[in-house]
Formats: sequence, C-alpha cells, structure tokens
Amino acid sequence: MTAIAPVLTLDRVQVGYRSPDGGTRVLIEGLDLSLHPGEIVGLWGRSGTGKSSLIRHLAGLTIPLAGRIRYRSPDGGLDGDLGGFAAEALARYRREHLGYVDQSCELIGELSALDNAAIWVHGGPVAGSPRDALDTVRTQLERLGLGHRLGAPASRLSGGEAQRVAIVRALAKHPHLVVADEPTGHLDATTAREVIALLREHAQAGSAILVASHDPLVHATVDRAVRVGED
Amino acid sequence: MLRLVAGALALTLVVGLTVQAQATQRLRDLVDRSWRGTYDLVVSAPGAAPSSEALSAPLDTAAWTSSADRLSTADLDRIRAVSGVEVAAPLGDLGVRSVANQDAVMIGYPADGSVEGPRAFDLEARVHTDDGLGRRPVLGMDTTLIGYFSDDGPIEDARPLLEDQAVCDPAPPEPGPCTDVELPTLALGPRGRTPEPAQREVPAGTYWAAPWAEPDPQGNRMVVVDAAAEATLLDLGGNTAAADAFRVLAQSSPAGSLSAVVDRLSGAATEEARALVEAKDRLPAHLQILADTTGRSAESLSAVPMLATSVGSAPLSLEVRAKPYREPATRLRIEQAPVDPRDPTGPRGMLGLPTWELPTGGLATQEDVSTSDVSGRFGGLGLGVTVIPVPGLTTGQDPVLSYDSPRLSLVQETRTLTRPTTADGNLAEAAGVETASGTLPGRPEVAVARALPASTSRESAYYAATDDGRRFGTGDAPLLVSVGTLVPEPDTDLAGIAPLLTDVELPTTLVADPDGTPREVRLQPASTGFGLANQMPAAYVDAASAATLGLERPFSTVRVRVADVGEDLTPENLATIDAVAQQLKDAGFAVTTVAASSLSPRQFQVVSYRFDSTDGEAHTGPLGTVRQLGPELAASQRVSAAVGSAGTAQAMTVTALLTGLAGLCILAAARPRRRRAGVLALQGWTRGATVRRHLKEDAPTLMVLALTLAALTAAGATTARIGVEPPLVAVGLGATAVLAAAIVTTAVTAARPTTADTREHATRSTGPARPARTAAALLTRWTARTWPRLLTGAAYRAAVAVGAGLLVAVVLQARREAGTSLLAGAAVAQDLPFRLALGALAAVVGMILLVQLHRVEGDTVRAEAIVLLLAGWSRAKLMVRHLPTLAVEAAVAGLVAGLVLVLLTPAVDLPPVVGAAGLGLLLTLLITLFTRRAQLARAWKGQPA
Repeated sequence: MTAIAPVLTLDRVQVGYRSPDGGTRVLIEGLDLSLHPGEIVGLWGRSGTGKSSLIRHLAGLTIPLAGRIRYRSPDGGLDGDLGGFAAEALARYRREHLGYVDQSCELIGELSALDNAAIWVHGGPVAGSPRDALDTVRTQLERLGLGHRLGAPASRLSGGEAQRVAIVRALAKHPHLVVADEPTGHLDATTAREVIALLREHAQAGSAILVASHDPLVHATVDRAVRVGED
Repeated sequence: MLRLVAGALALTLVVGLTVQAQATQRLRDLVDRSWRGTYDLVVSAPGAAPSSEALSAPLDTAAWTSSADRLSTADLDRIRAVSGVEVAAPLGDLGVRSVANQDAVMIGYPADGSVEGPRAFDLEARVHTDDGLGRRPVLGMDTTLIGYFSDDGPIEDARPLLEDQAVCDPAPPEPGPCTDVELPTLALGPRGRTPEPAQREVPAGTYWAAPWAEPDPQGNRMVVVDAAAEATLLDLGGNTAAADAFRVLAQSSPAGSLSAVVDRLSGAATEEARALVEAKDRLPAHLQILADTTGRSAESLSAVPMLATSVGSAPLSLEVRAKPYREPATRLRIEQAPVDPRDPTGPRGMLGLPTWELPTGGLATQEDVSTSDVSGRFGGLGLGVTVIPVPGLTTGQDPVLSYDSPRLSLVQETRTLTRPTTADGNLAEAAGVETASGTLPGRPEVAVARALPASTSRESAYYAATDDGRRFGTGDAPLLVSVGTLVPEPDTDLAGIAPLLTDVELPTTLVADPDGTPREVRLQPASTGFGLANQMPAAYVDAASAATLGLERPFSTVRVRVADVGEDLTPENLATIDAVAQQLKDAGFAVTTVAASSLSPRQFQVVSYRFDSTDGEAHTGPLGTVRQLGPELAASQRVSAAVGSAGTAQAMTVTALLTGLAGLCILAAARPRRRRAGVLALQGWTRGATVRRHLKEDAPTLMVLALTLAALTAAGATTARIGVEPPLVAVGLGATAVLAAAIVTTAVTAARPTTADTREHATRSTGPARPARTAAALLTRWTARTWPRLLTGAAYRAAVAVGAGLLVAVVLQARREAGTSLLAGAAVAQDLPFRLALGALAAVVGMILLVQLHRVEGDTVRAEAIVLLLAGWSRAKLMVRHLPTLAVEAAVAGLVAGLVLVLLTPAVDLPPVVGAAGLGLLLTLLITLFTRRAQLARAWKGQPA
C-alpha cells in the first residue's frame, strides 16, 4: 500500500487560530500525515483539540497557521498545495475530488434532500454525466433509508436524516479523498454501521478517507489512526 | 436593528417636516413679495376688456389700449369715486404718428462755395440692420445728386445756369440738346446763406439736403396717461426716476402756447426741460420755421408737452457710396428743376427745411464711401434730422451732423394699429404697412417718391397702420414738446405684472428654426416699430392735453390700485380687491383683475418673415418658433396652490414610503425572534415571559418613537406659525403610531414559535422527489421555495419604485399646475432644492432600511454559501444563485409599480415617472447585489485563494 503515492500529504501543519488581540493559539503542532488511496485513517482526540479545524483546512475553507497541505489525485490531474490552488482549481477539488462531511451537516433548508445531496452536480463540470451522478445520489439516499424523504425540504429533516444526506452528498461523487467530521454523530447504531460500510466500500474503490470521530464503531473500522492533542 | 429602523424613521419625520416647513415659508415669502404689482384691476369700457384668447395670443400692442370703446374723463372720475379705489391711472393710445423718412436722414451737398459748378453723383445708399439674425439691408436708395449753387441769390430757373454745361444720360449719340433726362434729385440754392440766429448751434457752412427715401410710418406710438397718477404708480413700484419724469410731464401740462409750457418747466429736473428753458429766447425762431411749413402763424401752434421714451431698436447703419456721375458736366438739360428749394410746393419739392452748414472740404472725383450710425433716426419720434454729407465732400471731420435741439415736432396724423394673425394663431407678416405718403401739409402725394429709381425695402411688419386714426389738418396740427425722457426698466419684476405693453419692454426670442433646430436669439425691435419684438410707446402725453389733441374719449383702460390691501396673498386681501372690482362692474365697467398675475412665456410660429429685399423684392419665408412673455392672470394663486400642495404631497409620500419600508424591516426582524422563541419555549418559557423580554428589548425603540410623537404633536400645535401643513403633521403622527403599533404587535406575535421551530410537521414530505437536472432548474426550484423572502423583497422594491415615481410625479404635476409664468418658474426653482433634499433623505433612509433588511438574512446567505463552496461551486456561481431571486423580485416589483403608477399618473408624465421608478428599482437591486457580495465575501474569507 505504501508504494502507492499518497493522495494527501500534510507537512508540518500547524493548526490553530489567531485571537482578536493578535495572539496565536496553536492546537496541533507540526502534523505530518499521508493519506493513501484505499485506506481509512482515524483522527482521534478530545473535543477542542483541533480536529474540526484541521478538517476545515483539508476542505480548503481555511488555511493552517503554518505548514503545507498537498493534494495529488491518483491520475495526477490535480496536484498542488491547497493554499496555492486558484479559485477554479479549488472549486474543482471540492466538486470532484473531495467528499466532505461536516459535523453540523450544512444543508440548505429550502432545498429537498435529493437536491441537497446532488448540489455538487450543478457547481460545474463533473466526471461522467450529470444524469448518472443524479442516479447515483438517488440510489445512495435510498440505500441509507431516505427513499421516502427525497423531496422533503432539508429544514424538515431530522438530524439523522440530514446527516445521511450530507454523507451521500460527500460520497456519491466517488471522490478520491473523503474527510468526515463525526459522520455518525447523529445516527443510530444500525445506520452508523451502514454508513461505515459505505465508507469502507469507497475505500476499497480507491478513496482515501480521514474520519474524525468519537464513535467506537468508527474506531473499530479504521486502518490506522492519528491522535491529536494530549490525552 | 429595530432601533436603527425607528431612529431612521424618526429622523425622516423630523428632518422632512423641517425641510417642508422651510419650503412652505419660502414659497409664502416669494408669493407675498410678488403677487401684487402697482395696480390690481384694469377697467375698460363695457365689452372692451381683452378676452383670454387675446391675452394668450402673440402679444398685441393694441390688445389693452386701442379698443374702439373708450372711456371719457367723466368715466375716469366715476371710477375714482368708487369706494376703495386708491389710484386710478388711465391709459389710451393716441396712435401712431406718421413720420417721413426724408425728415429723419438726409444726404447733403455743400453750398459754401467749396464746390464749383454743377456736380453730379451716383449715390448708392443702404441701411443695414441686425435684429439678432445677422446683418442685412432693410432700406435702400439709388439716386443721382446734382449740386449747384450760385452767388446770385435764389435761383429762379436752373436751366439757364446749366445749359452750357449739360450732359445727357446716356451719353448723347449725336450732338444736340437732351430733353429726356430724368434728374432725380437736385440740390440747388443760394450760396453762403447766413444762418438765422436760431440756427447758430449748427456747424458753419451750408447744406441743402437731398430727399432720402420713401416715407414710412415709424414706431412712434403715443399714449395718453394721467401723468400724476402714473407717477404715483411708479413710485409704488420703486421706479422713482420714471416717476420724476412723469411729474415733469404733469408740471408742464396742459397744452398751450410754447412760451407758457416752457415757463411751467422752470426748475424741472430733466435735461430736456433745462435745455428748453435755456433756449427760450431762440425758440420763437424755431417755431417760425415750423409754422412756415404749415403756412400758419407761430402763435397759432399749440404746444403739447410730452415725455419721450428711449425706445431701443435694432441698430441701423447707413452706408453711402458716391461715384462721379460723369465728368464735370459740359451740357445739361433740366426739364423741371425746382425754382426755389425753399418752396415746398415745387415740382420735386425740397421740404422747406432750414439750412445747415458744412465744414469746408474737397470734392472727390473717385468713389467714396461713408458709414454712419443712424440708429433711432428711422424710429422713435423722429425728432430732428441727421445729415449725411456726400462721401468725399468733407475732410477730417465726423460726417454725421445731427440737428435736434428744438425738440419740437408737428403731429400731422396718427393711425391705429392692428395685428393680424392667421386662423391657426400663427403670426404672419402684415400684408403691407401703409406708408405715410400724403401726410405732408397740402401735399397728398410727395413728389420725391417718384424721384427714387429703386424702391425701398423694409423690415418685416406684423402690424398694420389703419386709416381710421386721426389726421390733423394744417390748421390744428399740434406741436409736440419733449420735456423729458423715460428710460425703460431693463428687467421686469415678477411682481403682479399684467403689462399693458406701455411701461416695460419684454423680450422676444427666436427659440427654434423652422426645422425645429433649437436657437436662442433675442430679437431686437424693428426700427419701424411694427416688428415681432414688443416696443414701448415713443411718447406719453398727459390727459390734460387730450382736448388739444382732439380726444373726446381719450382712455382705453384705467389701472386701479385698491386701497387697504395688505402685503400678503390672503383670501381676505383678494376679497377686498374683488369687492372693488364688483363695485366697478356694477357701475357698468368691464373689469379684469390683474393682481396676482405674472408673466408667462408663450410660443408661436412665425410663418412669414422678411429676410432680405435688397433687390426691391421681398424675400420672405418661415422664421420658426418665437417666444414672448405675456400676462397670466391669477398666476400667484395657482403657483401657491400647486407648489405648496406638491411639497406637502411629496413629504407625505416620503413619510408613507419609509413607514412602509420600516414595517417590512420589522416583519423581517420577527423571524429570528420566532426561532429564538422556539428555543425559549423548549426551555419552559411562557409566552408572556417571552413577550416581556421582547418588549424590554424594544423599549428604547419605543422611547424614540414616543419622543417623535411628542415632537410632531408640538409641531402640530403650531403649524400656522412654523409653516407646516396640518395634514403633513397628521401623516407623521399616524406613521409614528403605526410603527410603534407594529413593533408591539410583532413583539407579541414573535413570542409564538413557528411550526417549523416546533417541528410539528417534521415528518411530512413535501416537494418533488425528482432531482433538479440542471443548475437553472435547481435555482428555479430554490427561488420558488424562498417565496416569503422573495415576497418581502418584491414588496420592498415595489414600494421604492412607486415612491420614487410618485416623488417625481408630484413635482411634475406641481410644475404643470403652477403654469409657465415667471413666478411659477421662480417658485419651482426655489422649491427644487427642498424637493431634492426630501428625495435624498428618502433615498438615504431607504438604503439604510434595505441594508437592515438584508442583514436579517445575512446568516442564512453565508451558511448557504459555505454549503455551495464545499459542493464545489465557484465564487462567481455563488452570486449567480441570487440572480433568479433578484430577477423575480424586480419583475414583480416592476409590474406592480408600473400598474400603480399608470393608474396614478397622467400619461404626459409617465416617461419621467417610470424612469424615476426604474431608477429607484435599479438602486435597490444594486444595493442588494453589493450587500450580497459583501456577505458572500465573508463566507469565503480565510480561504486559500
């Protein structure tokens, strides 16, 4: 496995934030990490140790205090530091290469579950045909038990339903990289196992997956884990 | 946010009320200052008052003053006897005095011995003018002048003198006498005539003047007034110089012997009066000369004092070109030479004019040209004569010698003016201006007219001098004596003017060519006095001399100033004027109320204008559109009502508009409160506790509104003093109360959580289970599902568009209703800054409220943006997401606003009103775009790129 080039490489990444008074609070110091296709890596640590912040860095929403985050797609079509991506490259990275699951789901209340899960299809060109992508979205929603809620506005979904929509939204595009922040936080054990199985399928299909979670089921699933913060 | 909204509205109400109060006060000041002129009523003989059509037609000099039905002195006394009449100043046209051009400008030949033998010249004379449309000839003469003087006393017969030196024209093909030579003009006479004592003020040397041109009636309208009453009116108008001039006229009147008139002028302040007093000893000689021309005794001439006006007209310049007719004659036959140039009854009669002296000079043998300013000589009263020597006959001196010191002029005839217009109201050139031929005493036709080979040309004339004027025979021709000069006021005041075209000169301006090309050329009055541009009368005569002038009913109108009328335009003052007007009507007079009048421009087409006629033929064509000022009755009331009500309407519109927008903001602010109420409800808060919390939060806002209410109430109690219209205060009070009620209501209703907050229907599935297959479909679906926001936005934009349109509509309506008078223009111009201030206030506060409205949605917009960014949407596409919403809001708002404005606005105002509405709508869209952009920028702030 290690002979395959990593999809994501973190080089001495420093995670933290700047306080309004100009000071800097460092949460994760000098993190080195490589994610390879096909592996599921766990990101463990107590609340407030910088896991979610790190995941937002990986999504390109924020930039780390220091260090480099390099993404390289397996086919080499997209290769570079996230911090150096131009706007269009960043959008393409998110639309085609990254599957992102936020702990608060981040759905658009007025849109249906189906439209929320497929919203990446309309952001720009996607691999394959949009129709196939939409079919995939529908299939995966039905697989996660949301066949009867496809047209429901996201504002009317329960927490579990919203989380499943967010997971489908991340995985339906068959991304090379999946970063998930507490993907099973709002799910019952059965559904959580279903989600974990889905993650495993994608890993086996070649995706590199980084999961931040406190869920023991997830802990038992990962190939390896990285611990941040003090125990 | 509510505090800001309430504060903005309070600011709007207070500032708007202050601005409107200022505007109202300024308008009152302007109208009070302007509404009343020096006279309030114009009284005419029954049926003689000009109709409204006549007043709105192209200005007719004779509209008020030349009616056939006239008033007598007894009528004037009856008017003055009416209770409430403070001043009654009569006015009547005496008519147009005919003056022959040859009396005004002459071409002279030296008779001082400096020129030997007979000399013949070809003379080409052209008078050019420029009435604002370019220099062009208007009068021409081509003639031949032969001069010869003898030392042997009066020439009995020119033929023997010239027979040995005759020439023929054309050059004789064979020897022998020529018998068919037409000699146009002769200047013959005794050489070295010694000036009489009365003529010592003229230069040395002697002229005989050559006849000039075909005579024309000139722009010398004379008007009869009561000089004392006129002076009173002018004093009221602050024109003390003119008033003083009329006092001199009153002092010197009535008509009588010249010596008696001059005696009365002792101590008078005018230059003319002083000159007459100083020349008293020499005047009998002048009088004798004038008496000689009529064959009367000097004692029988009755002198009529008059006040001349410095009538301005287009400049006139005379160019005289002289060429030797032939070499000094060798043979000349004259068939009908005048025997004595002083004999006015001779075949080509000299006019019996006194002689003038000429500086010694040489006689040119080549072509010479002289140019002289003869402005005023072909117009006005034509007092005096200007002599233009034959070019080349003088050296080193001004060739123009003027002679006008006696200021005496005989009135032989006056005529009445009419102004014909075409059936469609356009102004066409009059068919012809009657010449004054036949006006010379005892000379029905003047022989000199035949002596001019080339016809004269004239300026365009738009009046006809009719024959039904009055003629004075040789036995009673009065003698005008100028005792002063009235200088017209250069600018007219707005004050209550209904000019009778006797005391002001109003501008006449060409504003467009026949093809519609805009022009802006002020036209000068024609020298004939019959042109397009209005011209003051040439002279005023006191009514005391009316009998001498043969006027039994001298007056056309009487201007009446009503007593005990205050300075302000109030119903009470108008009622006082109306009461006097009614008394005058009851007494049998026709009365027109001119108080509260103003001048108003009116435009008309001039379909016929004489541009050039140098070849003796008239070259006429359309001139274009001409604008003149004319009286507009009751303009002050109209202006006051229109501009005042427009201001109030605009302020009320601004108040209502911003109240509505503030209401939308309050409604929008209730949404997050209801969500929070859901959380509090889950924590066990009672609804009452939530309401109290809301009211506590809103207490400062309500306090601001309470203070606003108090301020408005105080303003309402003193509306009359501070100039605020009560309805405006009422609207302000209502708006404040409505806003306070809205805040309290939403505080209460927002305490009830929404069903979504309680997730009452959380399991209900809505909407299609099909995915949006395209981005456009997705955005359409998305837009449709945000209809509450969309509705709020559309309502806001529609309100802004309607408000902006109405703000413009009320101003346009005010302009239209105020009329086109100068007072209306001044009032509208003065009011415009206030209207703009209110508009700007509405725009600024409206923008603040819109930004507040968008702030409520800020969190939602940012959250959506994050989701889309993570789904791979580009930044540009994030903004695209909002465009359908904006498009729908704009379409709905535009449709609603358009319908409302079409229903409320007259069709003529629709383009600018719709334009303003569109501008307002566009402004809201831009604000939304910029706000959204800022909100989206926050969503991607901190991203790598």
